[in-house]
Amino acid sequence: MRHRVLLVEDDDETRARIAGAIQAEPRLVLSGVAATCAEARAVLSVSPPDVLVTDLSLPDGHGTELIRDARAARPRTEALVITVFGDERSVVAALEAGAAGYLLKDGTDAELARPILQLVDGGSPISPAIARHLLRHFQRQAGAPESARPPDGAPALSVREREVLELLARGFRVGEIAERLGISAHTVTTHVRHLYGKLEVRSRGEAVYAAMRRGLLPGE
Amino acid sequence: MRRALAALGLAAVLAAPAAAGEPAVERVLDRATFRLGGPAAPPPDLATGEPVALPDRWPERRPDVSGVGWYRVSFALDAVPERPLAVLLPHVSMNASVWLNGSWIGAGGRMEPPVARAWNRPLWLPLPQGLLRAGENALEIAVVRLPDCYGGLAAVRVGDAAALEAAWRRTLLWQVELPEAVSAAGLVLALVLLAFWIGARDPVYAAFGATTALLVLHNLNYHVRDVPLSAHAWEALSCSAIVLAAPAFAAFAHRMAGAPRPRLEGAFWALGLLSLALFAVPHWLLHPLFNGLAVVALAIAAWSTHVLIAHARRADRASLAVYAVAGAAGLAILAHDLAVQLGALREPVSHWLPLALPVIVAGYAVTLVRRFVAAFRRAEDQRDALARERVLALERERIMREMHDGVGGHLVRTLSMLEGRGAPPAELARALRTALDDMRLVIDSLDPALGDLGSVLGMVRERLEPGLEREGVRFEWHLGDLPALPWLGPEQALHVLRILQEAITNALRHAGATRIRVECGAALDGAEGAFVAIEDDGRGLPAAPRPGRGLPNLARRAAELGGALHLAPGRDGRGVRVELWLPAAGGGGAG
Repeated sequence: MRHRVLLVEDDDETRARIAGAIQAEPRLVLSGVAATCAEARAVLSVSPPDVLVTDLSLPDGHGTELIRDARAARPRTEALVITVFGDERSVVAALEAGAAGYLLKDGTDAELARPILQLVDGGSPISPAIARHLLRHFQRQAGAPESARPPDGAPALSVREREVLELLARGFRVGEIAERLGISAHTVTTHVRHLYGKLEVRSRGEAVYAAMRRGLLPGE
Repeated sequence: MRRALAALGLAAVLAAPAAAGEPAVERVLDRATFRLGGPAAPPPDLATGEPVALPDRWPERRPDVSGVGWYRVSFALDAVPERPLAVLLPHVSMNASVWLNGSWIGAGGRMEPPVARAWNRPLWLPLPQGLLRAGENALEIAVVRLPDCYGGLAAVRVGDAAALEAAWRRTLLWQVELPEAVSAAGLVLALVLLAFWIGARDPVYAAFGATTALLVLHNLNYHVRDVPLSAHAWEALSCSAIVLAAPAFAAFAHRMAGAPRPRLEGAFWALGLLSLALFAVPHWLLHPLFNGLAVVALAIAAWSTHVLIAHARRADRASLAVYAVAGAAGLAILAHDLAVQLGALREPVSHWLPLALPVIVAGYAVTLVRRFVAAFRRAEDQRDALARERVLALERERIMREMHDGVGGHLVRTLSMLEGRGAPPAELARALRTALDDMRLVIDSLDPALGDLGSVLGMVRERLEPGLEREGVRFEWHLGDLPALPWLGPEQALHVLRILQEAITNALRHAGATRIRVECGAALDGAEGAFVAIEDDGRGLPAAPRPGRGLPNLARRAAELGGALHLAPGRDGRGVRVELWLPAAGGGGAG
């Protein structure tokens, strides 16, 4: 079964290269390309993909909005962002929007396809960088004053989740972590998926909470 | 001089309890006969002198007369009492000497120039029992009036010695001893302000110090009895001191408000310095001139208070409250004393200034302290801001350097590869990837989450593993627990990253390794710290170490961080083990 991928990227050369990498992978099919948010939305409404791969800065909007809208319309849609540096701000913003990882723009075909394949196989791509960013992000959340947190915000890290993140941040691969903690690799990946979920829920919750506070939504 | 009848003293005397048992002797003697005379002995015809009522005020009854005048008062006793009696002169000016029934019994100090300045001190003298007699007893009191000063005698009290003494001591406390304490405190404050001025170089301290010092100088007159100066000089000094305090206060007020007005202040000082003329004018002109100058001084003080309150309205409420209270109190007290001075108040009242002085001065001193504290805090904030800016500037510099040396260098090399020898695209792509990787490394080093060696190792693996895998080499990741390295900032992290990257790349390129084992932990032997070991299964160390591996460079880099590099053969005798040791404290070294 071939998984459908929608690619959104405004730079022509990069788009061509990534499109080529996706096409070269037998388990993936490029169901559409777009260079703007508007074009992407058109495609999303007509034929929603299994995986949305999008750049963050688009001429008429931000990639995170696309991701949020796509997952709101069809929660089974997975998303990845394209970034040059994989820096904290882009990554965390993407994760909060509901993405599950990122592609580095200059990767080889194999390096570009790997995270997409991991996703469609049910995994949650994660790297030491993402783990570091997440640890810091959850630490900051834990330190935030009560009034700044949404009332129904997702709880902080569990002990096991923290353990997994810290080992990931130190460079251990999923398999090595599983061996070290005496659990299965699948369990490790599930922990990661839960973490991403917490991030997305909290971020969605925060948006709702902020809207309520501004009086845009009927509150309690 | 001043009309300073001690209303307090009188009230205290009236409240004195009577002696138990025998009928209490309590006399207020307010009828006297008066004659001018010499200080040595009463004039023989004093009993037939001019009848006067006490209080007797010389400026009213005999304005142009100065020198010694004698009063005779008498009181009758049924019998010489058992309990001792005393006489209390609540007020006399300038000084008095007392005779009882023809014998001298005491005085308030020198009666000849320089005359003791006892104008503000009640005089209490015990009446020796041996001199008292049944029937009429006569007190003859010599009062000296100085040419420039007030002269007079208030009603005389005779009565129980203990009760009168208690009243006398109370009056002395309020009129003399407390003003003495005020002068001492004022002097200390003036010295402290002088120290502040020397330290902080802010003229506002000098201005307030001058004001305080001048007010203290004026205040001395209330309690100092014997002065080495002539009466005229002392009067002029005391008067000019309080007049000059006004321009000094104006200078303080303008500077507190942040708006010095040199020309206006110059005019004030000129007016104030007119008071120095008091030293030279004839004695009959001294007080009229002083009164005029005192009115001007009061006006200047009012102006200064207005300046302070207007300023405080814009500043903060606390300052405004202080200025309003201290200013209003100060002006009211000065106006009152001036009215007493001018004789506008008919009732005998004393001057308020000596006792009110500390309150006023303390009020303004508080505002000075707040100003000093505010200036101090501003200086601290500025210092912190500068420190922050310096840190930022150093970071900016570092990033620029990295960009220039790192990425800039890579790109230039790649360009020359292309233009110089027309290198093949694959090689160019590899070079450009290296440049991109290096830039990522720099950005990674800026990551604030990168606080510990563990994260650095994670970053190393993330960056290098793809390249390794392309060459068919794998990592064996065996990390132990690491101690914290508090000195590991972004710059130091970048150094460690580069050292590890180079060690691993070396193993790849020169040794032909297939496995790279990474260990780390707390340094077990010797000094406290952490170690990272990179071990490969390649060719091992050559018998004679050649410079090709670039290890001296790595060792130098490690030393720059305060650490060290060790080489050893691999565990199975194969390959090389590179150990980087980093200290727990004091690392980082030169950036």
